[in-house]
Amino acid sequence: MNNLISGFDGIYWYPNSSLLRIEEWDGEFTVFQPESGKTHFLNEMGLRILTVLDRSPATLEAICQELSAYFSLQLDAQFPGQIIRTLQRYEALGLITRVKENE
Amino acid sequence: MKVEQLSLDIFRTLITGSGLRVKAGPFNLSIQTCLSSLIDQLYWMYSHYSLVDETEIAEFHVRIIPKHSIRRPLAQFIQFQIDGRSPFPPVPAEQALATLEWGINLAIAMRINHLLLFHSAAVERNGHVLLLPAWPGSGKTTLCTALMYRGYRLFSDEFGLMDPRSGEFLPLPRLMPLKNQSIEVIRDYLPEAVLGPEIHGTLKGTVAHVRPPQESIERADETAKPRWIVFPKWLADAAVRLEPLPRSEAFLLLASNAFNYEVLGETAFNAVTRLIQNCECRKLIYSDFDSALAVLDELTTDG
Amino acid sequence: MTEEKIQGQTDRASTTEQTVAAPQSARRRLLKSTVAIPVIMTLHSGAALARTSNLAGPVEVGDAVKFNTGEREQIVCVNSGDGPLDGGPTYDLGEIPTADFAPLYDLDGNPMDLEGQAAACREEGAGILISAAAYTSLQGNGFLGNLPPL
Repeated sequence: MNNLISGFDGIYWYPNSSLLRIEEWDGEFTVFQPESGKTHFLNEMGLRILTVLDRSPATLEAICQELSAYFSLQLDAQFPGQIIRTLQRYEALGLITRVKENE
Repeated sequence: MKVEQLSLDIFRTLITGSGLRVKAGPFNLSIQTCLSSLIDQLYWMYSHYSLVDETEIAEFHVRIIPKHSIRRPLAQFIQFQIDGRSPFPPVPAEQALATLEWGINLAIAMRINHLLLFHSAAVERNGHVLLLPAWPGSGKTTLCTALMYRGYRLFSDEFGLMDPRSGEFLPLPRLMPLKNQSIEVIRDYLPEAVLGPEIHGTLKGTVAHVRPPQESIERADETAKPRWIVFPKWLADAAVRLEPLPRSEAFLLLASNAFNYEVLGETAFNAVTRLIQNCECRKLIYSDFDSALAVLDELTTDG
Repeated sequence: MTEEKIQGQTDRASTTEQTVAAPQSARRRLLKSTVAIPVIMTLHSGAALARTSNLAGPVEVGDAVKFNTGEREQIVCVNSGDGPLDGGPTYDLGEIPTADFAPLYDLDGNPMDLEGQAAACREEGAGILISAAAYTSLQGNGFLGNLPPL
């Protein structure tokens, strides 16, 4: 877990748009992204990542801690890897951008 | 004036000349052909459709034209054209009716963007629309035919046409292509159904079209609000089940099955959101029409 | 969201299993394992998307894509949410193929080997196993984003 996180030291993610249209369906969400015209389907944790970043840019470690606290999860070795993959997917979709500290 | 009020001679003069102009739901079609077998079939199958005045604009100008094959000079081939362009390769002349109907559907799917087009059958009962979206194995056309002959008004077996601003659905009653085993199933279950000729060897196998009932065509201007979305699934020997479908899943299935969801962007997102919020979403598993009709009747009965 | 709430959701899903259609119940059961990880799926409109029946035929356990998810090998189960087509040789994954790891335990809590996982995946026609090539191709087309790349 520490090795994974250290590879993302000093990297912050922030959302590209605050204009997402979000609809909740019993704990699942459809999200419309105006810039791309795409509709995404997210579960609660997927959306929580976006709301965490919308509050303020955050590092992988901070995101994992937020999620852990919010969902009362005991973090295991695989969890940061799942979050990294999700962040990379969000990045590829243009939902979020990464920035290196002091850049 | 309706097609059936024309003599066959005048019908032939129109369709071989400037074009037969008929109203299909919110659209006007102009159809031209010199193929006599197709002319006879259309005279019968389109008999309830209203003719469109020359002063009205036809959205779609379609033709079935003869094609000659160098390799098979004696065989008769035809080709579908829309506005002078041919989206399909030539096919044997016997397939003209099926090709014409698919061609018109393709044109609607490709060109209509002021309405949200769901890939779905739609029928009306008690003033509200029941959507039966297409998905593999749904048998929507077959089920739609059964519903149509049991008191439901046909909107369409292929397109759920929704005005994204008002949320109203628009009828588009057109010929309904039954495929392969469904033809015999409907002949057995609904001997009163009016079917066109069996067309063999098409890309989808054998096809026979159901002629929509007169009432559905005459009431094609009467729009209605949706109330039920039922995803049907035919499963051999299964006991009938009509069960809740999570709304998020209904959203995804419906939106991903729309022809122009991405073209309409946020308008479509808002429209599908409202649609799902305002409808009961169900999944139907069935193996026989009687039990499927019973549960759908119960669902769509006011109370 | 608290753990109780998450548990409540899975409980509701579990209760729902009793009443919903068979393929649906299997899918819900598979989704239970995703509660504690983020899931994102991007919608692809049907008109633009070719169906995947030529790409993704069902394969046997030996050829199926699987991952070592920590505890032991876990098989990937793919479905369209609506079961197989008419018993034909091909399997249409529909417009939005979905996938998840097959469950590691049966309903009684007993661990399942790969064959057991495969059986649970296929239970009542809910899902199929696919090859690594098909898996990579589906991911390349924007599907199965909830699962890791090979």
